[in-house]
Amino acid sequence: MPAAGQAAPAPRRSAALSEALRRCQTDGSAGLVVGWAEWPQMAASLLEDVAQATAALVWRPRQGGFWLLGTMPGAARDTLALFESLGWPARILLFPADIAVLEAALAEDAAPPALPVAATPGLIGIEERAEGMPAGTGQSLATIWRWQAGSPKLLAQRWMVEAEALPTPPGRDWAGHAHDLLASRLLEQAARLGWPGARKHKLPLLLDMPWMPPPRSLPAPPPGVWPGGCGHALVLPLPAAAEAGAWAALAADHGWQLAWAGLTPALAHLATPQRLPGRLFFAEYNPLVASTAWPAPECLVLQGGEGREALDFAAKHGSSLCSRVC
Amino acid sequence: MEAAPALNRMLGSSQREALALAALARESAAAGVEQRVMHLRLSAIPSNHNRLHHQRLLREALLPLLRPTRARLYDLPSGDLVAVSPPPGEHLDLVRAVMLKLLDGEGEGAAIAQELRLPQQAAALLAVVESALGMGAGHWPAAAMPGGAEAAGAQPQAADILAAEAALAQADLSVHHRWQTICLLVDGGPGPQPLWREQRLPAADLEAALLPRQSLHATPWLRRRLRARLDKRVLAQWARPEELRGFSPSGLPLLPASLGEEEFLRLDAALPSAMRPQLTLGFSLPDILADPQAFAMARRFAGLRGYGTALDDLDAGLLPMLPEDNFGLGTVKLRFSTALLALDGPGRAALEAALPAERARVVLTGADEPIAIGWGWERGITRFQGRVIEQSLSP
Repeated sequence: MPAAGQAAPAPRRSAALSEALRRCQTDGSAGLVVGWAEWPQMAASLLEDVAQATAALVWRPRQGGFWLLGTMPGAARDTLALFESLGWPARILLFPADIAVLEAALAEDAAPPALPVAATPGLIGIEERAEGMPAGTGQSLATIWRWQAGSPKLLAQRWMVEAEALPTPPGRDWAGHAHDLLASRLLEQAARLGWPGARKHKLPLLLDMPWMPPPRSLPAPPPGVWPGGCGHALVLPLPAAAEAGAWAALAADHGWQLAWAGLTPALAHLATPQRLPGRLFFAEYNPLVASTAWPAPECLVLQGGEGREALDFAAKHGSSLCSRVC
Repeated sequence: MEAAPALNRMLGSSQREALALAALARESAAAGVEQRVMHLRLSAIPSNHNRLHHQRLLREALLPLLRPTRARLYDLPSGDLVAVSPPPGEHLDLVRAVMLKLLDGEGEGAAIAQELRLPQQAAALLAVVESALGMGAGHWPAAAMPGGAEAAGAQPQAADILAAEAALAQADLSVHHRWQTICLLVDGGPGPQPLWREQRLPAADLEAALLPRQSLHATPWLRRRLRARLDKRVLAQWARPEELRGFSPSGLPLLPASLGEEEFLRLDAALPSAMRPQLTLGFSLPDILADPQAFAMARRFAGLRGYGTALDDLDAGLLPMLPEDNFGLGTVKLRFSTALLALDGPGRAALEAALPAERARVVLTGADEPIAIGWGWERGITRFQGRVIEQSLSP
């Protein structure tokens, strides 16, 4: 271990890497740089396959990413197409013309490592931290609205979780657990303190729910009925759809409708009352959402996208928007 | 509908009668045909008056009353009798009166002779059949029961899961592995033909061992986290050279994200490409919906590498909700439940319309009773997994 303030020694260049570099400098070989992959192990595995088949090398620099070096141009192009189909950005290198790019990366790899990033918050005690959060934090009251006859029409309010208020280490399961801890607080607050004071009484209330099995009972919704339209609704995380029937029966018994959160373009076909019992389907806005054919766009509620594109999409398709109020 | 010949060979006579009664209830409900039903709950008679000779005496008293009529008597595996007659069916009233007289002094005669009417009470009659076949409420999966019994125990916290993960790293899981066989069983064909085997860990037992007096029922994200660790342990074992020798067609249920883990990729690297199609990777609906991005990646990767894929452990009632391509997965493994027997006409039609046209892609799991095989055959399903199959395979 280097002493404090002392730079770590540059990593020794292996014989295999030196040989791959020599080939890149002299031969008409090719390479591929994968700067980021959602599943790095899988990316490495796919690159290793190509490397084995073409006597190339997969180099993993300290700064991250993967380099396939010394392969055939055709193999590099095929691999590029594969990575693009997986949504992982990659860049093809044709040597020796692109040798400067590789040399710059080798120089960066030899430089002292960057300072470690701040530690990710731990998990021990996350439940106590969620419980100890002051009332009103980790939640917000958002407005659901849509364009109607050229002006915004308010449809409902959503008492929703601000999951980022309870940071967790990376991983879908921990993020889901943090969301559920905060959503459970909403249910507790509703039972103990009542519905949020800032609620507009003329609008239906949508309530974020944790992913859990249908409970034996639910709090009664606030007063107010909207015949034929969107009424008070429980916003369930999408995995709860595996018990959609039980949830629908329970919600109806207690005066609630259902809405669903977590729709993605890949699951667009579920976002219709013909598939799932509910009138509203929440999806995080991104450009892929706009290029997807939604079976019932009028039931779609876009969140996290208040830019021009999201507004245009919503206006064109009759979709709604979910805007957080600070 | 008559039970098919091969199924008949697997059933006792009272089981066949129970199936026939279930079919009659469904047909009556579908066609709106009225019937009067008298359910004689002989199994409920106190044991001191329910010996074999008592039952014989009761039958001898009842049968002459029914023989000259259009009533049909069904003898159920539970020992109960069910008489069904077109209306008005006054002789059923006589049967009831005789029953009450014979059981006079027991004080329970009225409860033992229960009258039902079809088609209105078809569901109740199906429940009688299910109970007689030993498929009552106790056989329902816990997840189907709102706030189910599984919820007993304190809710674990993240720290408990981290501790359980540490314990899991040292645990010997080999004793917990369970193999299930998927078989081809064709109506009128030979006995079950094994197609592939699937390895499963008894999750509930493991959770109970790792988190005593706690329940993960209400914390599904924490349960998934623990399952991710179990996946890694199982995959590490599968990648061992001794496990890969003599590799035969197999199935493995996994979380989609597990395909991105080093343990899976080690197995992937060790498995010759010709063998990969022999491994079917199963993904469950909640896991797909919980992490759609991971699932998209896993399905794509599995396709690239030539693995088989399956929609695992799907409550058959949910099938109509799913996209027609079933998320692009090759096999659809439907879980049988007795609720399927009680589906109404539109429910049955929706389910049958949603079944993949290529029935070889469908596996009916949880076939623990012959009635599941019969239900599957009625829908052209010929691939099964469950206790009734395992029993047929045992020497």
